[in-house]
Amino acid sequence: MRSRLADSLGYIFEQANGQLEVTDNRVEDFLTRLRNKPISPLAFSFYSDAVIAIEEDDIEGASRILGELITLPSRNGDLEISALADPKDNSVAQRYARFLNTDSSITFEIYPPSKEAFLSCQRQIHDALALLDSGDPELAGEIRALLREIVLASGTKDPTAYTFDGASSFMLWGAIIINADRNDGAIGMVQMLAHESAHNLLFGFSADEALVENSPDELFSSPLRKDPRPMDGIYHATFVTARMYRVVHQLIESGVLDAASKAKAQKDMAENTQLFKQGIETVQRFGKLSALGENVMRGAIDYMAAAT
Amino acid sequence: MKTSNKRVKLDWSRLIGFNQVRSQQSEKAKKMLAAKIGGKGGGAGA
Repeated sequence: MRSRLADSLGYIFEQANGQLEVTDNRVEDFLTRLRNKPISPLAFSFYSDAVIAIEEDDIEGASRILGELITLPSRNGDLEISALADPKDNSVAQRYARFLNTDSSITFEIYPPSKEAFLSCQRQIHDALALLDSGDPELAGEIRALLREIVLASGTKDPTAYTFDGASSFMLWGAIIINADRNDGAIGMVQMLAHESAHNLLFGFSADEALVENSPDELFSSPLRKDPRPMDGIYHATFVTARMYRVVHQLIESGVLDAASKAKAQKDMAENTQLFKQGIETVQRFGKLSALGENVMRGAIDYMAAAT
Repeated sequence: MKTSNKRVKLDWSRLIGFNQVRSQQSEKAKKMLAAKIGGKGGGAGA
């Protein structure tokens, strides 16, 4: 993904032919860093903004955005857990909020987590990663390879408004955002990590080729959310449900769970089995999948058929 | 919407994330790049 982002940025600067007011040698230095070291998930969001600005012929705006992009520091590759700052006065938090608030049919708001919620959620993540390290080291490695940052946030407290459990975005690739106001322990958290990292995995698969060819304007009744969703969303939800099933199944098989955790795991597996069945029925009935999309989902279908 | 007199012309087929939008439509691109949000209490959401 970083290499493809570097290719895309290189192409943009080539096409701009000097019209973007960003110093050439700083661009080259950044592209070299980008190809060789992890970087903040915000890099994709700045890139997205720059493309849209160029499309709107706002070259000055694109120059400013790209100027900010190339100053992003490299990361050491560790998985960081951070607290969302207040989007009211923090530009990084505003950026996360804006790239998550992309659905015009709902009002989606995120806030900083309370200190208590942050610490509790952070502990659940550490417990979940420890469980994965002992019971499903393959997935633990995949999560650490895919993700650079887990951002903990809070949703609205209005019981009538839409809030969230977790969120991911192509243009925040490498980051997941988790609602810190949760208390379903390590078994819940391993599924959350499997779920959100699987979105990132699918974003990576779809970098060069769409998984789903249905129009984003075509909406389908989703068994996984109350509101009708585009096929891409239903495809994602169905795939990640299989991943949630798989991680819990793997933990049970590994023998690392105590009795209480095993009971919750078995309950969640039954729920995930049902959600997968409902999702895959919609995908198979209405989905126009690309060859890649068929292949990726075939793996999930075959796994669930063998396991359930 | 694409206009012919832009100062920088981009072929979106060469841009990661935008390469699946056949016509250069910002609004369609935004929909295709929409975040995946799991709803509160709703299990797997997207």
